[in-house]
Amino acid sequence: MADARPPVQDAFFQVLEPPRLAGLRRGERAALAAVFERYQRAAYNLALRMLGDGPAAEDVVQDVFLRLPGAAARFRGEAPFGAWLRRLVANGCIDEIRRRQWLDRDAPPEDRVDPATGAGLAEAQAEAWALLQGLPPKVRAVLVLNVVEGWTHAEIGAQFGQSESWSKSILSRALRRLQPRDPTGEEAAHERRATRSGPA
Amino acid sequence: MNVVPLDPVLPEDLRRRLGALPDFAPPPALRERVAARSWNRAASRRPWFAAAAATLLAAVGAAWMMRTLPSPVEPTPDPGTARMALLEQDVHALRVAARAIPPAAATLEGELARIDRSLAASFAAGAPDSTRAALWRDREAVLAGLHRAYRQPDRLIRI
Repeated sequence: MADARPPVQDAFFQVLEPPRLAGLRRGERAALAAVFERYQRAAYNLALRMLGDGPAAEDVVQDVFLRLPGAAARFRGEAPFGAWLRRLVANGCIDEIRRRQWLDRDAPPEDRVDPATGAGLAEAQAEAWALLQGLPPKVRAVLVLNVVEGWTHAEIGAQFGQSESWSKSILSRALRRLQPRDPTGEEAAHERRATRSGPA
Repeated sequence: MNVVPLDPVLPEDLRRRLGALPDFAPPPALRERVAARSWNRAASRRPWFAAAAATLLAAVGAAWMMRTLPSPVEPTPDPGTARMALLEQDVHALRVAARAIPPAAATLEGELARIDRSLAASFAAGAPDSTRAALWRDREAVLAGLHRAYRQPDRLIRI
């Protein structure tokens, strides 16, 4: 169910107090529960946006939080905790796309469970969600990582085990799918401009 | 000849539409699943014989340990990290209390997000400490600017 809370991106910027982090590193259940309460919503929504499938998003969130005590032991504070956790969730989603063998799909999975069904979304929200839901998993993940999460193409390519150019071409494909048909041929002209010959 | 694609340009209209993405509440069962499995994991790491052995060892050596070992202390964050944590906490409280985001704060929020991404990326890429130290300094300056921007929303902020 969608509701009117502040944007979920903000939830990743919440502070994690040093004693709580220390408890998490020691594997204390109370610390894990507290961290889960604080970040679960942000983590779930990031996973949902990347994967478009409720159960798959739940699997990623569960896996990330169960591994969190061990991962936190290796966390040395080089990034804000929320930014670091956000990265773990995004990486978990990429692993999930691989695990479910969604990388080569050119259409959205037919058997997915859509949490937006019956959620009573506002028109703009429903439209934005439908935009994502119409994309194949890999294309969708690249779009969310680049446009919503702000990853560079080099970062996305590296995380998928691909090149920067691969990420750019996937995003171009996403944009082609999302743009209305262009009867004037402008789109085709843009396509031609978007690929240039580089040095041999 | 290699074909080098240029950065795809996202139309402003599409960016605006994606900005309306909904926020869903996680299903309550997710909390129960994580709680149950975290308990199981903890339990599986402690089979009964290991627990019994640990109890016996603890009983035998408890008095000796109490006399010879220092009491456990939390790891102390370095001054920069502790200062940053306090500043971050203050800024977060101001964010929550603000009725609207002041224009100066909006710009700085974007800058903060950019630095956080850079920090996360340099962390993932194993960049040297010196690189991250510079980013942490920038971050602290931006946080201080945000603190001023939220406290005095009508003033121009320089960082």
